[in-house]
Amino acid sequence: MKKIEAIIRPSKLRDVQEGLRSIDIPCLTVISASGSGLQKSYTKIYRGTKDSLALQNRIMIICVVSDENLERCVDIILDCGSNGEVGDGKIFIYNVEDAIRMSTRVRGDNAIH
Amino acid sequence: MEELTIITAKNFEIVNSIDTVWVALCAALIFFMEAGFAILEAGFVRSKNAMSIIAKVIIDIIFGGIAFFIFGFGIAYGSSNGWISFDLGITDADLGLGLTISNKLFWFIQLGFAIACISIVSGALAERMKLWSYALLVIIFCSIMYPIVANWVWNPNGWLALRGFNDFAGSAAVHTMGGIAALAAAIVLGPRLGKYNKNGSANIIPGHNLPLAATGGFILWFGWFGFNPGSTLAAVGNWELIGIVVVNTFLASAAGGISTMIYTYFSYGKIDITMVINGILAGLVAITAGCNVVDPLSAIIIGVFAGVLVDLGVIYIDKLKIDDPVGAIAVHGINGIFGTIAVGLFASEDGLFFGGGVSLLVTQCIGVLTIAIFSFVVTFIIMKLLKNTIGVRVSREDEIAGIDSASFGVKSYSTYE
Repeated sequence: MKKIEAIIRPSKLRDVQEGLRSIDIPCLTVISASGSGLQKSYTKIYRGTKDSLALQNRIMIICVVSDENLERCVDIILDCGSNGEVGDGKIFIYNVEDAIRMSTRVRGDNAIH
Repeated sequence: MEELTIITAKNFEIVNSIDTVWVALCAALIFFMEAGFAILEAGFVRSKNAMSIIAKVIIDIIFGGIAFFIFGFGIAYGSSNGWISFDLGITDADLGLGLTISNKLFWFIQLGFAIACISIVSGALAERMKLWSYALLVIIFCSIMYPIVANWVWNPNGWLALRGFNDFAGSAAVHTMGGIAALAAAIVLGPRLGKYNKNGSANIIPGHNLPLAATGGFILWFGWFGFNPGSTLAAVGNWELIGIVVVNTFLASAAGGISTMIYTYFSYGKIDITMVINGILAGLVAITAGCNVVDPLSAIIIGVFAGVLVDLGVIYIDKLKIDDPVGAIAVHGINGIFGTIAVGLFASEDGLFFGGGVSLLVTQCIGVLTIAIFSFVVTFIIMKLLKNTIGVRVSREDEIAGIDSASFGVKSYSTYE
């Protein structure tokens, strides 16, 4: 079982969500995030003072998938979520110990989808 | 005899003072409607463009206001040949309207009408228009386009005024003018990125703060009680008329809200409260032309139709792939036309339904259609000219990032600081 954390552009959320749904992985958590990566951020100007440390708005998507679904899920996020430009975001993949569906108390792969 | 002259002079002064207080109060209410436009539109757009729409409404007031001072007022209310006049600034001459207020105060209340008219346009152009191009549109609109229409309708020598066209507070001159201009401008500007899919279906782009939008709706509603009753332009001698106008204004707005609430419930299975706000505004727009001449029951009927028309209008405009983020075309354009024509049907003396024959109805139709065509054609040409010279649309990157950070270097909501 793997956890995928993908940081994407806010404008790509709809495409990624539609893509994941199309391969039957509809469960995801979305967090509104701010941060900075390698790309230059916009310069913030407030009453004449410039601030180039401004943070970019991004969206973080969290999906927990079974091992066999991992590559399909990552491919969809890459295909639907990137422009091929600096600033597209990053994907992190973690091992997951276990998962429990609270309503039925089912554990493991059966709990995540 | 001498005593009588003094008393008359005193009466004259008292009348002028009372009327001045009344009109100044209403003019301030109308001016405050700009706050309503600004935050209604801000609530209905995405947070990344919230400041840009506030900026547009500020541009309406500051650029539009100066333009209306230098050129607009003279073109609208100077000595007219029926279509246009060529005065500059605020003239001291008698305008022929039998005013008991100063021309300067009259200018201020008319300024509220002019900037309300262009603020209608700002909503339909939200989230994608270049600000400097918009400022140019505002200047042209408030110095020439709106004043020409105001001249036809409200100048005592205007060709529509002479035909007996009844547009009490501007369903035609303000709302049709603004709403149809919004239509033409939105067509030239094109839809927001991601609004329409390749297969032609529309995506919803929900507003980011609906309580804010609702507050804006309430402020507009509040301001309307300056807009319509203030169009009496005098309190003395109008105390009965002001009551009629206030009651009709309220009844139409409430009826518009009710009919939208019922319509959306039965059409979508759920009440759409953002549409109910638009339904209330639609009722207000529709009663604006006839609030001085219709009975309360007619006002309710007009409001009910307005509330349904705005629902149908929003859906139909979306089907035509004309992107109107706040629904300005349906609220102001469609209901401005409907409200003006409704005067010819429902006026309690000359209306068709009350045995007055068709002459008023014909005049109303001619007037509002001329205004709609004028508004559409001129706005379309000006937007095309702007598009082919300085450009009207922000770059693709800026549109995706949001105009706020791209043009102003700020975010409306700085979460981490």
